[in-house]
Amino acid sequence: MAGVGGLNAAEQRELQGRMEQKQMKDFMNMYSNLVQRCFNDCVNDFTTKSLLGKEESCVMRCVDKFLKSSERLGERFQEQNAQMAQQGGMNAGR
Amino acid sequence: MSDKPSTSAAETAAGATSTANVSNATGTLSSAAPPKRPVVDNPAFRAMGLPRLRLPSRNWLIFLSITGSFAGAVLYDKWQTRRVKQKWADVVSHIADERLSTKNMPRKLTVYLSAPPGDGLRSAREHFHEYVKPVLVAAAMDWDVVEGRKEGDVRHKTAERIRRKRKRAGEGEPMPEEEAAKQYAVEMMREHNGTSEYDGLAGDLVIGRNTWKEYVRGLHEGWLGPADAPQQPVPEPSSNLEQSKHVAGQPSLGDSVEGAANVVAADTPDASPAADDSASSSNQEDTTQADEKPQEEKKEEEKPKARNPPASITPSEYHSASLSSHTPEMVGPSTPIPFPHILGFLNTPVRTYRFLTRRRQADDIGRQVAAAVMASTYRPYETVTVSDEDSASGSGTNVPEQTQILVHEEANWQKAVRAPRKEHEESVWIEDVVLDERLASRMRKFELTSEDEARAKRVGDGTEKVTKPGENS
Repeated sequence: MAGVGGLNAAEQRELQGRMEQKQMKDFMNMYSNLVQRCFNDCVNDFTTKSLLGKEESCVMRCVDKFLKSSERLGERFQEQNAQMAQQGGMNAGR
Repeated sequence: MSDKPSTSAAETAAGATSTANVSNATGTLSSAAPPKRPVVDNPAFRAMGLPRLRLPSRNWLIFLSITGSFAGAVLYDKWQTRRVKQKWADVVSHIADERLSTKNMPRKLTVYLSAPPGDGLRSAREHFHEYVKPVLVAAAMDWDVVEGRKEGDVRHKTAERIRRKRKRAGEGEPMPEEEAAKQYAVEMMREHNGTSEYDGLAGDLVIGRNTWKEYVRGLHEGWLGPADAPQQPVPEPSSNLEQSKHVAGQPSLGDSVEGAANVVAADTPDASPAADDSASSSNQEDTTQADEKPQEEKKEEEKPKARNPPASITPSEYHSASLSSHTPEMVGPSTPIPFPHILGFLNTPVRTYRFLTRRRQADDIGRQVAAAVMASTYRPYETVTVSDEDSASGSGTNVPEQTQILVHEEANWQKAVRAPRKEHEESVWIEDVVLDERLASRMRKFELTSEDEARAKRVGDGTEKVTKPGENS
């Protein structure tokens, strides 16, 4: 993806746009995963249209935990990625 | 009076039945009915109303009693080890339920594992998986394993870790920026994100006497030796120049291998860190030496190279060395864990006995690991009295406790361990444990408090219930 040498302005703008698109896509993916998981796990009672009290609190906790765990996972992934990138750079030189 | 007709009737009946029997016998001889065995009639059983039991023959009895007792002993031992492991896992399970914020790392224990003399790493790993790991998993503890396949590996790796910590803190020669970024990529990313390491005790679990010796040696080398990594001495006359030049970083990462023309060195089937070392150290030299390289590489290939770089400081130099300024007040509390391991055909009775009493081992190891996991107290190592073999009066000398940890395991080692070492092999296992007072006073040992012991006993008896995860809490 990286061009030879530097990127000129037009390419950089395009790269920027693509990154933003990707981030948006990732965000929407995460949102739909979150909704699916929390709905499936928390909301079980369909005898009534409204959310019960326990379902409401369950959903809040579910969102909280999901975001915290994805934050943690993201951090670990970032660290490992950095390490791999460093070592990969060295391995490529071999 | 009434007897006579009845007896005569009985006689006639008996007569009739006997004739009937005879006729039956003659009639059925052709069909070859098996003769009936004489049934042992026990009047006591008959009185109790039990059916007519029949014991098997003498041979069967011998066989069944031997196999039955052996199988019973094995099953009882297996059942008890399972219970004991479950008990220790329950004792520490409350730690798994503690909360952890996203910006904090959990506590990490370091496990030092090395292959026992005469055997491979697999047996040590299985010992770890069977006795140590269940307790660690039940407490949701994070752990890091320092493995050693041959003598000296654990020493080298321990010293490397300590040197790495020291370099990170800023000792030794400063590394260039990109070098530091490569080595400490994970740590730097964590600092960047604001993730903090666990603030509290870490811990070391050392499995086996040989590992303990290497661990102590590695500790001393790491904190007392120079902060820079030792060089693999290249056996060339020009090597003196290379040794004085310092290769920044650890030998195994070998960032200077890129561009090294010595692919020959990489082909050596021996330890590749050693090859990288010679390649990297020789890379420092100018290319004028390149033509000498092929012959010297061939010479090295014939002579086996030492697996790890030699220690940067020998035990005799401890008293003259200076302790690193970054040495923590307490060198991570350590817990030695017994690893009974014995080989040999003639030792089969001993091994059978140990196989049938593994529950005691499980209990002991579970206790040590639980002490390390709960980290409630730790005590400094004391001096113990060792009885002198030679003195007639039986008086003992006082030695530091660290030298006598798990010393009974040395009796299990084979004679081959005490054979004199070849040039490229290390001899940590047969040397005594040499301690430096400054470091030895900083070593601590995990212990279980008496309340924890009492609680463990109650959990084992069943009087204290431990809530499992998944139940309503």
